Amino acid sequence: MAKKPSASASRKLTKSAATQPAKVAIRKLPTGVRGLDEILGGGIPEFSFNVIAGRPGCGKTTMAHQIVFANATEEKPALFFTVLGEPAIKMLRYQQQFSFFDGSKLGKAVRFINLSDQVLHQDLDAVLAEIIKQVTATNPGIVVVDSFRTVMSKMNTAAGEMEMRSFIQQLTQFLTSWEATTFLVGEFAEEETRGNPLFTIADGLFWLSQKVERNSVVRKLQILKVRGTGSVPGLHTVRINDDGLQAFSRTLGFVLKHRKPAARRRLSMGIPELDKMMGGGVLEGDSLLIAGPSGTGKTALATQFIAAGLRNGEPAIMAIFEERPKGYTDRADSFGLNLKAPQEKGNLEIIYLRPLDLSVDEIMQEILDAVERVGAKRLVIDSLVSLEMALAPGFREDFRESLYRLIVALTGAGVTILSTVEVEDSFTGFSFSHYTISFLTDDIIRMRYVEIDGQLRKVMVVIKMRGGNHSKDIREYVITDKGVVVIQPRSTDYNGLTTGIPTRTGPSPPQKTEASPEPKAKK
Amino acid sequence: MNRATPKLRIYAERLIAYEMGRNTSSNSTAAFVVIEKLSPHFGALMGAAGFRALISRALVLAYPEVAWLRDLRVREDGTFEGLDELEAQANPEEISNGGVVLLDRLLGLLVTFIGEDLTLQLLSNINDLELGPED
Repeated sequence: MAKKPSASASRKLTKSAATQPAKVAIRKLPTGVRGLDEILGGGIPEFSFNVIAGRPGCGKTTMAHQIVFANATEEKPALFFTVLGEPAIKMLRYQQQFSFFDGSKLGKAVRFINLSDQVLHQDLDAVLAEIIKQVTATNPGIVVVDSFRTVMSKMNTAAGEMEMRSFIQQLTQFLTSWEATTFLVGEFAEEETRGNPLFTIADGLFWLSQKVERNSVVRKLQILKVRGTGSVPGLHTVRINDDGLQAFSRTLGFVLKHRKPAARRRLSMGIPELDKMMGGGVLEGDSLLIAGPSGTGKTALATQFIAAGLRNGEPAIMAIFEERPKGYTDRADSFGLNLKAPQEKGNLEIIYLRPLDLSVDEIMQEILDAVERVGAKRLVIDSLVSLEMALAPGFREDFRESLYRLIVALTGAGVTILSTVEVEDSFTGFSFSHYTISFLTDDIIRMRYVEIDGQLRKVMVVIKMRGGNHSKDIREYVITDKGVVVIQPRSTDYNGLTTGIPTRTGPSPPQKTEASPEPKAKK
Repeated sequence: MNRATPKLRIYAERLIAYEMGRNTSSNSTAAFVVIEKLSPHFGALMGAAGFRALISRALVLAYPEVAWLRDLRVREDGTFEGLDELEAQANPEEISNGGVVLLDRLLGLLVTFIGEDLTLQLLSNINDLELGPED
């Protein structure tokens, strides 16, 4: 039996619990940069002292503006000190082009103050005095100095290292005491970070960079450090568009809003015989790969898969990279499948992503947004080859990793994904894909051409289904005005169907002139 | 070349009208007083040298219409050198009209760079500037 604590011991415990210091809650400020809050573990810690660094043209000033406009209010304004960099009037000219720029905040909530005269004609004490004067007068929540590099250049020439340390120390202490969250913006090279007191003192260090690869530019962001919160490590892709900077977390998509349902249903592929081959259909939340050469009907099969879902009340997304959406709806029409009506009702979105200059993270974000928007249960990616081609060259090396994230994120949320991949029929081998991406898929269906009785026909086979048993039959199919139709039971009269050049082992039937078993789809 | 919009011209005239109504300065130089009042505010935004450069450019743009503005110089603090001498010699109405043209060109430059909405927003934040009544 446990010993009952004495009354005095109880009092001590109570006292100890009561005097246990409560952990301070650090409020996180929104950055106004889409995706960055997620990378920062919720936002920028309030009252932190941060450096936004990088080479020219990386988006440092724009990022600072986004943070300013996301947080500035008349009660807690933002002070934006400009120093010998881009003239403020030009900065306003350019920054107002971004959607986050709110002109009505200018003057009261967002105040620009030029420090050029102090930096040019006076010493660091005058610079500090002016900052202190303005901060004391306005009580800001956010303070930005752009470019702090210029201020540091002044230090390097006119002051010793100790004076520089002293200046930074005084600035930090003052701004922190005034409960301001501070951002020093500057053009720095990575080698300058070593031994530089600025980077030692800073609570947060945002490093922006850009890399030119062939004809495309890839922008990246790295959070080198951020005190008081856990950030996602590594390099994150950054895009600058009309909305300013947008950051794509390296772990984009891994934070799931919905979970895969516990009991998974079998979903129809829209092709009854194929459903049978798959043991009743594809498992909900699976990633299915359809591999085959050009013209074997991968897109037709994908269209039937989407249409079957729509008939069953499952909203869908088709992410396409080659053909325009009209081509898809027209093809569906020719199979008697109406995709236009569900599009109009908002149950189907066909996302056509313009090729050649996309980052894989942008594509992922577009798809994730669309899935969220329509509440999609089915997703088609047609095709993985053209998706890769749509990427800027610098992103292609990340393709497999990013595809993995996309698939894990969406299937984890219960979305069933059908991806197509074009493979060449070699007539000797039976490959599934150019990429080693089979590990990303739960199920694989292979379509291919075979030469039979002097005709080039098509067969399909279910290669794998992670969630259960499936038919091992190689089945012939045709593309009719109903789409892909599996027509024959498995043939036992041939060996080597998977090579594309089978050998007849059964009796040779008398040959007769016959019509093609494959009428063309209606136009 | 005048880049100011009619809306801004009216705005400039109303700023001057209010300044004239205050009777703190000669009516003929009210536009120059308005410009001098802009100096600390726009100087804080773009640096004193930046705003001086803008006024100098506005002067040059106004020369074709108001030749005597060539006799003015902009001081370090944004005030005008030569205005007192002109005031003693020239017709007050002529000076007043010249001031309106100069202010109009200055606002026009601001509009060129940052647009009308932002220019008006920044002007509205200046406490010691008021608008005179609409005609």
